[in-house]
Amino acid sequence: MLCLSLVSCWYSDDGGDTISSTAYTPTILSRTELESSITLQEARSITKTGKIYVIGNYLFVNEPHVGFHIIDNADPANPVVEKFLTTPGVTDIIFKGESFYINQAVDLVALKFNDALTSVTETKRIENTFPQMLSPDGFYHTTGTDEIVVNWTLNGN
Amino acid sequence: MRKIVYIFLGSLITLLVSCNSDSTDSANFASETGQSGSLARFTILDNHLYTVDNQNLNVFDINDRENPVQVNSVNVGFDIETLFSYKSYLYIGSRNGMFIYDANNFETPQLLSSVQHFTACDPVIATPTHAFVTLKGGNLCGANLNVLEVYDVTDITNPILISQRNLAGPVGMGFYGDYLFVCDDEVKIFDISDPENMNLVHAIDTESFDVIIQNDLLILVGEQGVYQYALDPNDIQNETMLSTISL
Repeated sequence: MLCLSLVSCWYSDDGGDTISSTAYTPTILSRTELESSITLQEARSITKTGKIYVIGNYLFVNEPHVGFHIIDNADPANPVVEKFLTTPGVTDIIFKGESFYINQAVDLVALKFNDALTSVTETKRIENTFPQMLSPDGFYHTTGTDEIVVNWTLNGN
Repeated sequence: MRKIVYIFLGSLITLLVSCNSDSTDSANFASETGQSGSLARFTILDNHLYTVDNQNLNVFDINDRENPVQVNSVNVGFDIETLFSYKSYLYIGSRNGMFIYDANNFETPQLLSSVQHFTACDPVIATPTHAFVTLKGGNLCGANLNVLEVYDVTDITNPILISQRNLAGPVGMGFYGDYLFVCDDEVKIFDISDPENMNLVHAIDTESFDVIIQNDLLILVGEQGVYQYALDPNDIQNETMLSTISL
């Protein structure tokens, strides 16, 4: 899954012929893998925090580029991490009625939960509407036609 | 005695917050309105979803909620970071400045104004009359300057910088009545009833990078966890910690 052979690089503006490379390695999914990767799973512990979103009694906490922790926050003194929505490449979420929208790397995806919050259904996917995710240090990865960067991990980790 | 009163007030607020809830067994979100933190890149106006990526403001028609249709993509600039809406205005924060678009015509947002600032990471949020921008420098965010800026946007086509103050490393922001909460090295709370002369009135000693304030509930997210407090509408210095979800 990790594509180590394709070295990300760019030519810096000032040096002209200097090639610098990123300290990160891209996590790559094929389009087929990306499109079958969204699942609602059992709660897991939070390992990295991202953006937050509140809807009704629920608090969504992004695990950057991995998914969303879904927290039952009906009693803010006793929040319960209830589910994990796996959505590789995600950073943002927003609801309109029962539908919600996420960015999944280069795609925008419309989704719905069932009322019991036991399953998630994809109702629409708009492919390749967002630019490729750059590395945290600003590098572009030269992808093949069927490769989508969903995350970057620091080398050596 | 004073302490007992505080505990009582805290419990009451907790109770009130808890009682707001509907059934906890259903995840039926149909009638709910969601709320993002200030670092969001998505916002919805009426039946249109707006998103920003590094360079573009994208518009999706969501009249058929299950079937969004992209209707426009507007080139804004470089290093776009955040999107905030107030009425029909879209406030876009980038590493180089703030852009204000009017989305009165939903599908074709028009650029009303922009201001440039030094390179820094910067969310923006706004009231009817003022826009608040935090600038966090250092590392990948550019110059090592850290500032909270206030713009008068009474004339939305001509934002005027009226106040700025140095902070440690400000990121997310949220409004609570006449107060502005800023996620800095601690949560700094400013009285913004006179935005030109903001006063730091209180701080909460919690490290965080974004915030959502809903009624009297303060939700903070930081690198080490998610923290919730009950705020006291009668005494800004009297918050009560409700819970912590640690990493």
